[in-house]
Amino acid sequence: MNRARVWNWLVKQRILPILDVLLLVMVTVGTRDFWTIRNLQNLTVAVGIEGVIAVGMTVVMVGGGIDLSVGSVMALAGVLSVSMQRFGIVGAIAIAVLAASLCGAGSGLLVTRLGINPFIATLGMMLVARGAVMTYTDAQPVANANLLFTQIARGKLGLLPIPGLVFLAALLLGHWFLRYTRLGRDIYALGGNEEAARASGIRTDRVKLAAYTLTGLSAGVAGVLLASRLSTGSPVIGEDTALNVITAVLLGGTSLTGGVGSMPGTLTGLLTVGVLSNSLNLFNVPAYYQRIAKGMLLILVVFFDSLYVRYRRQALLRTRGKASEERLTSTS
Amino acid sequence: MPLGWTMGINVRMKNLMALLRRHTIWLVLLAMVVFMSLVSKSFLTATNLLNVLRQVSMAGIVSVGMTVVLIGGNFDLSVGATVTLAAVVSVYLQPTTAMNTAVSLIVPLLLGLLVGAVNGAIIGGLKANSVVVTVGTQFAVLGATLLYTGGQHVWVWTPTPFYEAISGGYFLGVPIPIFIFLLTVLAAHWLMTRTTFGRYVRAIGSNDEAARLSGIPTTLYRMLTFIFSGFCAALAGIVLASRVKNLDPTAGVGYEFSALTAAILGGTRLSGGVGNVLNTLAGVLILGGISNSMILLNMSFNTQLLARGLIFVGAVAIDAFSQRHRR
Amino acid sequence: MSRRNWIIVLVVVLAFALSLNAYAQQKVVIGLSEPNAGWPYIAAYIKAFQAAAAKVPNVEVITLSADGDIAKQASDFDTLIAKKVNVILVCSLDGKAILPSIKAAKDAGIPVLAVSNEPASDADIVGYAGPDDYEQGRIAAELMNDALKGKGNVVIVEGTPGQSTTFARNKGFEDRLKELNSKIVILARQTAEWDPVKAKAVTENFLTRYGDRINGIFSQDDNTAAACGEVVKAAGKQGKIIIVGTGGSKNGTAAIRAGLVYGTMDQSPTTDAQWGLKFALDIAAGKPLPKKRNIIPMPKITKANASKFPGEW
Repeated sequence: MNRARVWNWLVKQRILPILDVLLLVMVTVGTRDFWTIRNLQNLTVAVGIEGVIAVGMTVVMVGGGIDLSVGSVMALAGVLSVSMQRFGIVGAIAIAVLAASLCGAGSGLLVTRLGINPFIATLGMMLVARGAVMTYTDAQPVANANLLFTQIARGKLGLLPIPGLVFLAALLLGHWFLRYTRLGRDIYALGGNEEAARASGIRTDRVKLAAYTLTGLSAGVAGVLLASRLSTGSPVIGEDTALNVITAVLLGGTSLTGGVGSMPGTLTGLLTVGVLSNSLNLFNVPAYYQRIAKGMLLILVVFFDSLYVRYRRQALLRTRGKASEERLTSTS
Repeated sequence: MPLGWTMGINVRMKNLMALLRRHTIWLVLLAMVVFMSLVSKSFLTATNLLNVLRQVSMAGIVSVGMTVVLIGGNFDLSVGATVTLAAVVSVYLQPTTAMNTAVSLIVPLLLGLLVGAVNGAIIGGLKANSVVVTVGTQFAVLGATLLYTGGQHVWVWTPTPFYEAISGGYFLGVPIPIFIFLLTVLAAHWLMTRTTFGRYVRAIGSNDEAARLSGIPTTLYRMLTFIFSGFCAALAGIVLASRVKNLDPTAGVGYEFSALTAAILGGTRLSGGVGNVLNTLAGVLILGGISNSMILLNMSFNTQLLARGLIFVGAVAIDAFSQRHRR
Repeated sequence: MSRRNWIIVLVVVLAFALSLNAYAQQKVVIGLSEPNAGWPYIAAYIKAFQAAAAKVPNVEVITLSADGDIAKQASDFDTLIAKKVNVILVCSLDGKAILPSIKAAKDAGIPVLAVSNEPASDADIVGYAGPDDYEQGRIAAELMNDALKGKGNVVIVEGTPGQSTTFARNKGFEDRLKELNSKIVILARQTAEWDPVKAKAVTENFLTRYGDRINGIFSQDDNTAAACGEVVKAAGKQGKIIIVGTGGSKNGTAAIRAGLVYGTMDQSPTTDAQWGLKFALDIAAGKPLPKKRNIIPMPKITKANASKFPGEW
């Protein structure tokens, strides 16, 4: 068995599944606490809440956009879901999700009507939403007194915690939406080549607006779940959410430039980071090493993945020649 | 008035207007300055303006590096961690003697170059996703910094006058950090507009495959952009260290955010290939001016957030509008 | 090749993982849920706690850092509950958001002791051990009132908005001034988010706006207080503006000794941690706490006694 052959084989695989398997093996043997029902439930909740946002983010990123406002919108929705309970729990949740969707639509309008770069538009929305919720609550968390509300995030359907259920539903819906609906396919087209999409009759402005509204909606749902879990509408949560979600989505194979991505990929990205965090905690790794470990993981994954892309590119060139060069140029 | 003279003025004004319209961000800056000087009598004083300039110089230096990376078509989200690392190491090396001061300046800069090189090697060599890689680097560097300091402050009580002067000194009545910042801006602008480096980076940012096919060593130049960014971050870290001399091990976190914002306000396109360091300067000044103004107006934190978001979107909308109308 | 190489890889990984699981069975497992191991006070606390625990036989400490994220702290709690620790110590990021987690722990039969930062008053905890932010605000007010002899204009350099510490210290300061019938007026407040760099910018801008009208600066943290002191000195107003800090940090006490800052009160992470460990062990052994709220001593520090307080964080 020589080194070159092992290396060659390794490079040909996508690194993420391999790393995930290794990670799972390590954590199975290394601690007896991973494969317990309790821990798996915890994992589901921890991944699930941000995961709902990741579903929305995948949609918007496949369309070539990005949304930095999700953390602030999540906080806004969370606060509203508690403070508006005079309209009943269902009413409060409805208001919260509606407000979040409006924020998403707002971002979408900034991008489509004013032609503002999505990064900046959603950055602005992030600041405005954060400012709004901080002013509304005077920077103090809003306590929830309703036990039924807390049950939403802390309850279970059988063995599956409700946030996990919501995440699963979002994931399946998102997958079906992207792959099998007209709008979903339009989003792929838009992300792949906006000019071509417009030329082929797709109402790109409407598609973009829909994508951003969906992301806002997903942030709203996540916000409600989080507020329920903490039994508090906190105006300061979500500072790192956008970055975490974007990282997970990118890790799962979605491209920053658009046109490439999938829900299963996003799920893999989310699970990788989630399982890593969980296992680092179970192993009682000190906080600083955890940070380094997460950083190394990201670098490792991207490193090997890029090798993979390069290998595929070279293979394609070998078999198909120069004509495929153009195709590669447009899909990088 | 002789006709020729008037026509001359008209032509000059037209050129100026055309210039301003192309770089509307400077108009926005002007508008802000005018507004603030009317609203607050302490805004347009020399002390205040110099304070603002000094306050933005650190973020400004980082923004310059970020602009170069963005023009090359990539992101560098690790700059905040690099600033922290450089600042912490600089103070930790105790610049209390001339020898130590030299070391306290050289080592952090080398570290910045190193981080940049690592980023550059992975992203440049493999065309990897720069967001994920630099986030990874950010985590790793920050974790390493925390380990190095055990989570505790680092401080130096009696630095040499030279070290102090980096942030506290004056030259011709102007604080030195401002000079460092402006020099960085000018150097970067020269690099980007008058050298091969600038041309190549712009080409790589606009269309990577085309650049590669036309013979540009894309890997090398991509790597160089990150090394430059790392250098800028380390430089900013040293200025930061000199300013505070007692640092939290998380001191520089968040710089990547303001650097990106300033660069984008200055018209740098996120898809690469387009950007102007001088306009980033305008972006930096606007951000600094906003922070300063809001404190002078004694706005509450919550209102500040709201206002910041609205101004932000407004500035970009104006810029976007003007771009549209030019076509 | 595949199968054999896969087996080799698996064996290596297995061996590595097994080595990680080499823990003997521990008697008492303490779960420590901290807000952010990157904050110097917390880092010093963790270090002191682990050092003290190392001296006690058959004690294991699991330390989790929430990295400043309330949601992560809830997940950390879940992890500790899943690991079936004997007792959980928590320094909460948000005193209300931590309540469901505390309840979940109680439902799982794990007692919870709050340390370093008090949660909301209706928390189902065994007790609290640590400093008192509200009281610190009050002590700061006393120091300021003494120094300014009951009247003057003060600006406040705050901590991160939304945190209970910021809120409590503000309220303590204002309430105590009212009780003392002080004529001190609060001109303005801005946040430096515990960051000395921001504090410098904020102080410079305060001086620009209010100039000679400022008689005092209350900084909710010692490190920002020292930064304010440097700005005041650079503006030539040292001694004319009274600065009061909070927390007794190394930088703060040094600034007091150097005359940049007027006074502060001490908050020792070592004492905090030692008390925390002692109570945790008591709880695990079933012994009751001396009181529900156990506040560590927070002596005033001014130039007179600053030499006795070198600072720990």
